[in-house]
Amino acid sequence: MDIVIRRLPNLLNGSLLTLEYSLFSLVLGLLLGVFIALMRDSNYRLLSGISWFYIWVFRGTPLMVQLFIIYFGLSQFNIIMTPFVAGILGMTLNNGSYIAEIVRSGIHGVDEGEREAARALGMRYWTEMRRIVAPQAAKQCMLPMVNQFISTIKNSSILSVITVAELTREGQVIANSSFNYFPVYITVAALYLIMTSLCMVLSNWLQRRLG
Amino acid sequence: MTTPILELKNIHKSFGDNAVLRGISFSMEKKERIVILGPSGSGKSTLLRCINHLESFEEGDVFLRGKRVEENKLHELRMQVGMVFQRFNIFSHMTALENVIEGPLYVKKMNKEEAIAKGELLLDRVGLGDKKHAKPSQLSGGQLQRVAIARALAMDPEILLFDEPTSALDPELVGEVLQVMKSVAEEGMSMVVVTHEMGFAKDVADRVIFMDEGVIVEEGPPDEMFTRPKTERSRNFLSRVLSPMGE
Repeated sequence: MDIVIRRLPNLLNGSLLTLEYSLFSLVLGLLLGVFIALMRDSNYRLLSGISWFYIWVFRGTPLMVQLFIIYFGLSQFNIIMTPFVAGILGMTLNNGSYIAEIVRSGIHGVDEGEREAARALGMRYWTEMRRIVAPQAAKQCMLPMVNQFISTIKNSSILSVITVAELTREGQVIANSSFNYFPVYITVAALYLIMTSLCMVLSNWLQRRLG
Repeated sequence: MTTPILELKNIHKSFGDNAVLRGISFSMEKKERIVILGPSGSGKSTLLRCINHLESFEEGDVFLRGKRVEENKLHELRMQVGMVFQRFNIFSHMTALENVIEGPLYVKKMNKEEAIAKGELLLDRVGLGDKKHAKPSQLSGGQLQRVAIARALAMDPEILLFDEPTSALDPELVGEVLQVMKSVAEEGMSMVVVTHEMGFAKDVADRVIFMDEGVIVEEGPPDEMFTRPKTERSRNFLSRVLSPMGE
């Protein structure tokens, strides 16, 4: 137990980094996801096709492989990134594909009749989106987004493979140097649990507020 | 003769292999009230939706005050042609008043005080002055449809289209909506109404258009249409709707 207490600052730093990567990639992933969702539903075949392809690839391959390609693979073409940039990029692209589908189902949940009524008033596409679709879709997306955040926090442990010193990586280093695996990994698990539980509390609160 | 406020020329529309409109032409004078009748599946609602281009069509043109409506200026057309839907289509995240002022605020860019004053006046006019802060879930179908009429009127349209506005209502709520439509008609609004309410057609319409299988079969003033229909098809239809139990 000694080792855990002594190295707790490292584990807390790792947790902070985990949250940082998760938050960054979630916010950027949300921007990307909205963009991709709108593209997917576009009338232009090309845009819709590009978006389909992107979602297909990033939802259909493991995050770890995506990170390997971005961090190690691209370096062969002299595209060299720091682990931070590669990590944020990989997780953003991965999140974007999932969030695009969340946003899309939120948009499709808005009554087509209301959208027609908006158009019948003379609204242009962006006004209709902003005034009629977005407020209702956002409400629909709230809970799936919290779930996505929980997944992101857990998936960020994979960043350890490209040497990002997030929580799992910190735990690995400490465990390997002390040969005291059990208490270290239990603490790591507990720290993840605290972070995801905070999300669940947030989710419950949202659920109550949205009825 | 003055330019008609609305003119349709040779509109053709199909869904896949199914030709729904097969060459529809008619024109409408300002302040005219047209009721379109016909059996279900005759293309009435599709025709109405083609007027404001909510439905695209393969062939034909729509003219508004003599000017052809261009594909890239649909929002200008729609600002002048209001529509009331069968299923009301009230914005469910907004109150009654917010529904009514949405168009003036975000399409016409009217200032807020002015829009609210106008919205309150219109809600009063449809008999819902006391419901302005009600959410759609707190309103009955009849009330929702009256909000929808106020919302359409708030844009000061040249023409109002009604797509079976009472078909989704419980029978006891039909009257209040027809009443409002009648008062809108009396104030001189140009209207095209698709409905099964024969009483409304008789009382309010200047002209009745009878459609079947995607074409206009017959048209004329309501008293003529209802008493002396010229074609077999309109005779059949009218006898069925006027005495549904078949005396």
